[in-house]
Amino acid sequence: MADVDTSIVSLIDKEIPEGRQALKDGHENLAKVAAYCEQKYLETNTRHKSGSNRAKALEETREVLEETKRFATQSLASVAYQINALALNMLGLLDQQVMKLQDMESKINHIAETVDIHKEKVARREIGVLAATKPTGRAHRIIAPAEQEKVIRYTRRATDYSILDNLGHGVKTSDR
Amino acid sequence: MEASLNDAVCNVRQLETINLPDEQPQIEAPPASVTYISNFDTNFEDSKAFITCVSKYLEEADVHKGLNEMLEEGEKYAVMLYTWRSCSRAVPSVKSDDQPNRIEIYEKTVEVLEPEVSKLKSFMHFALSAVDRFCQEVKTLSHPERRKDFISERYLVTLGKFINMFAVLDALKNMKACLNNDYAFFKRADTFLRRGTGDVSMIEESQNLSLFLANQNKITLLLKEGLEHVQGYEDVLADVLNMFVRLFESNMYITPNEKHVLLKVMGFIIFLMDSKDSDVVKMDQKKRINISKIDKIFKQFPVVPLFGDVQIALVTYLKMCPHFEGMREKWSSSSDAAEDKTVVQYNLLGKMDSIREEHMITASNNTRNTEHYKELTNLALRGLRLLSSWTAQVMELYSWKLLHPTDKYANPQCPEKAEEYERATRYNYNSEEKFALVEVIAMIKGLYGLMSRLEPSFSEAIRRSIHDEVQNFIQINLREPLRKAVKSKKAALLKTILLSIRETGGDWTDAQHGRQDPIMKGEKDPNCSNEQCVICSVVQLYMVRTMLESLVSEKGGKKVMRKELEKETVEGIETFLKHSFFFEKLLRFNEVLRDCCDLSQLWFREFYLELTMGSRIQFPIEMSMPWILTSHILEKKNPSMMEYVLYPLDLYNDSAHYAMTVFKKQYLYDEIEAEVNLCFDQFVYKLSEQIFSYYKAQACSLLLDKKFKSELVRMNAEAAAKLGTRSNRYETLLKQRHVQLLGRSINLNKLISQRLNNAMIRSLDCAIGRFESGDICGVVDLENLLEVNRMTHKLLSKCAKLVPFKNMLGEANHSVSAPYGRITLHVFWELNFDFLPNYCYNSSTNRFVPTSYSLVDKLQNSVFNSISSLYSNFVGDVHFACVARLLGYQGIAVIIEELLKVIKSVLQGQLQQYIAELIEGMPKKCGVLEYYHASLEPIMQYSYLRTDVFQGFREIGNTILFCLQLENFLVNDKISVTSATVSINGAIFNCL
Amino acid sequence: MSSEVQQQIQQDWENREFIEIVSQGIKKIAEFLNDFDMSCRSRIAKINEQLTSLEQKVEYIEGRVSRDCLSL
Repeated sequence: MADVDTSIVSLIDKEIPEGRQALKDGHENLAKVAAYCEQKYLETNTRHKSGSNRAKALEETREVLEETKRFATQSLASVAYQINALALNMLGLLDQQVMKLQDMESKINHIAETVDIHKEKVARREIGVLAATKPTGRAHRIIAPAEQEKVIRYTRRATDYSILDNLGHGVKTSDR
Repeated sequence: MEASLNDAVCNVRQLETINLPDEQPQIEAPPASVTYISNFDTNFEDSKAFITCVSKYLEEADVHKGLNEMLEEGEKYAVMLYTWRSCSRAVPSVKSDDQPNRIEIYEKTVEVLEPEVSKLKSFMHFALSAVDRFCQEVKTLSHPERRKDFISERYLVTLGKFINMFAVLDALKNMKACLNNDYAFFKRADTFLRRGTGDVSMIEESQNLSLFLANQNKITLLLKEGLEHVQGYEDVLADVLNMFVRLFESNMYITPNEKHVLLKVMGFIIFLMDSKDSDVVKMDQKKRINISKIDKIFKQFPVVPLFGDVQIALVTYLKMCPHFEGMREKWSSSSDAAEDKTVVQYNLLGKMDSIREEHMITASNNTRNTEHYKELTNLALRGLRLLSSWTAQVMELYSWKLLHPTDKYANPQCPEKAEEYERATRYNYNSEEKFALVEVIAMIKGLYGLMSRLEPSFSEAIRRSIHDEVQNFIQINLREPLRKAVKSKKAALLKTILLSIRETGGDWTDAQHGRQDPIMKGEKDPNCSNEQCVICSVVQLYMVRTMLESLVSEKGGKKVMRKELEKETVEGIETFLKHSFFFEKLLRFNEVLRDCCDLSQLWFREFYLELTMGSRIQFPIEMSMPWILTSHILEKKNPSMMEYVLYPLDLYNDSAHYAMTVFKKQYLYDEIEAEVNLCFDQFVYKLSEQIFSYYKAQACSLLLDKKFKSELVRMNAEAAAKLGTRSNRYETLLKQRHVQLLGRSINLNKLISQRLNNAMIRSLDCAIGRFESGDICGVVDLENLLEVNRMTHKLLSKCAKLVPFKNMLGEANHSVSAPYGRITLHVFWELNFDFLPNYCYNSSTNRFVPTSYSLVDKLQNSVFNSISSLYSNFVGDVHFACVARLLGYQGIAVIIEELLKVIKSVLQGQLQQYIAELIEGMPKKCGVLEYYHASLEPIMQYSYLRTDVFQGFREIGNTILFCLQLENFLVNDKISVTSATVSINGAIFNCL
Repeated sequence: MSSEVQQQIQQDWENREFIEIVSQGIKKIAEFLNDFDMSCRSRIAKINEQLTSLEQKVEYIEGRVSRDCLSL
């Protein structure tokens, strides 16, 4: 039981808040990174227009674009990973709590039983005070039969078809 | 570490491995706490990049960009007009001229109304500029030279949208009288403060504005004037009209909104065309337009929703035409007979169910081949079409009903002074219509849920299949014509266009650049489109389609390219164009899906609010459609409808979403929220009430044995009706643990379980109360009622976690902390004051019968009364059994103790002296009977003897007998209990 | 010159494909979050339900036991 408690406490205090914090930081960083990339792209673009040498400028903008792409992939991977970890932690926490609740429930049911038994005993004692002891027979109500009937062996008898002849015929005068 | 793209993708895919069980049955619209909608439509921003495209269409792209922006602005103004609530009614007006604080009031009025009026001003300027821009467009298009060339489909559609915008803005302006009042109010305050110091332009502008706001249909008149200056404008309009008719007939539209736009534009164009010099009928004779076809369409859809709850009967446009009298007979749809639109024929419900199953069957199996993609795309398209046809039908019925409110003759229940809106919504639908509406709404939301679940596979399939189709078309179908064009020197223009199509839309693997392609030399060679899962951007699609259109259009002046192409390539192009019409919509599958099932307008009623001229800030919930449908389901308790009950509630979600995202009006959202709070409380209250009584009735019929029920049925049908409850489906409702309502997640199960708990305790309480009001014989009735409650509890706990029955009974019986419950006390009370003194024992029937006759009339004619009446007026072993069972050892012990005390008190108190005296008075020795008779005579006359002594003896006797009976019953009950325990573990011996 | 333009258009195809894949990823994450939300809500609701029923039981027992003297 103890390890369930510790893991719950650790989950609640450490892992989940950390996960959440990581996601929150990610949220801000992403916004910053996006702004940075956009601004850089615009910058190179304006330089590209004013600048004379087209190919070089074109190269630069493409390079910025590549960088933005890398950032995008990187962020997608990290966000997915973080969400995955946090989700697993949350689900773990929920399972632990279900377990904890179950054994709490069994404890409470146990207590309820003891209280009921106690109440019943008190009630019976109260009624016992009023009732005089009636000499109920000590003998057990359900007692096994004294002697075992011996099992009779199976003996084969040929079937005699005429045995039922005189049963229920219509007119019977002679041997009545 | 540097994550590559497929690392990221596999991370995401890893997410799907976590299994997320949620066994809640899905009977509400799909929950969407996080919605992600990506829209890559750049509204022609990047059109300049495609210099490979034919320059003429590049400029056209810019035109479209400008027009689209104007359309968006128009949409904003429409929203502003529709959601305008009059401010002037709220502002205190100046009563008399010499009112001391009138200056201060005026200042405040100006201050308040200033921003509103500036909005009106900008609206006027926008309207004027839009009209000019439109006339200018029409002028360029109707230029004789330009007439020869063809107008692209996109151009005509955009012009059509412009016309629709004008129609909507004008209708909204007409509808909102409060605009004019607000402005007049402001002007009075403003001129008073300025005392004429404002400059000329200011005054002139405010003059225009008040004129603009005051007279009706101002925008349409402006438009008509502008168009009449343009020579030959009716031809351009005729093109637009024919295009829209063609689109409508081959139902080239997806969302219901598009369909309604087509209809509105048709009506409005006819009105615009019908001016002094040009006459619609002449146009019809010159075969420029086809009136009979349009007339047929108008008859099919007489009423069309215009905006929100504003609707328009298409015929009104016709009636506005100056030449309408001349052509009345041509327009059969305008005759009044056409008015009675058939109630929406829901016979197609059956068909819909089959279609719905079909969707379920085609869950996305992931065989990845092109043919499968094609099929999925068609399925997606058909799904969208289906959804939009249902939604369109619902909205059309709703708007038709709004336009034809009922009255007390048509609907008897409609009271005399019912309000306008009430007659349009509350009393305007009979039961079948309401049920049909609910069913269709449920179907829409259900299918929407299914499709949004399948959305990822749909959109992927769409992208792949469209990409294949476009690339195959460009890279294969166009090879032949290009080869011929390259060979035959004279088709120069055709060659350039074909080349530019290839370059703009082609997606080539590296080797196959358009220019070095061997095709240049005219030879044939294999095709090679690379396998990508992305489609051409919106701009590319537009350019390719427009260029293809130019190839096949008949009108092309002298250089008509159509003849130079072979027949089947022309057909190929035409079929491609037909298909590709939907590509752009399918690109934005998610948004289009949402628009297709947009039922949010069922709640908005600005038009009717305006009609009440301020007497109503907002209408009560009985008049709002979502609540009408929900409460209808709850009242009728129709089992087949019960599971749909959450869908009408979901209409609130749609309206709230619409109010937040499109109208962007906080007060609208607050009103919806207030109504939902009210409705939801009632919903949960009624539902839990219904569930409790349903399960109680089920328990009742379970407990009564068969033959008794058949007996009862024969006796009176009414009781039987109550018994034979129809089976109903509440389990699914009770399983709902997270219902999405206005962004909040509600645990319906928890709410209902709480109410069920209370209801159970209340019913136990009233059962005990009933017993307390009756005599001891009621104990049997009490036990039966408790048994029914126990059974109800058992049935209910299958689907809702309730407090254990024992605890409930304890609570109701107040026997939790107190040692003896209400039942015990009442039994003792009855024993002491009614049973012992008044009952006398009949040994042969082993029953106690009350000597003094007490009539107890049974008010409720419930079934159990008929049973308990069998057991009243006597106390037999049945009663003792019940008493023993109900009181349990504790109760019996205390009662017997008390009875012993009573006997002692009776003995010692009353009887002792009497007995002493009687003993002396008794003759010592006993002899012959009549001797006794003689000597005992005086004692018998002793009056108190009867009242006290005998009564005392009777009480003692009754008590003893009562204890005896109770003990008998206890003994055999105890035996069964102890023997059971003995047989179980043999240890506990008989302790008593 | 046109080959350079052609090259740019081709580049545009690749970029858009990249964007499409990333947007697909985001959509999947969003969908996962929705399902996660639903599943967690129903599990929490169940736990909550169990908790309330336990509380009621404890209250009931307290009520029964709280009588003045435990008559043994």
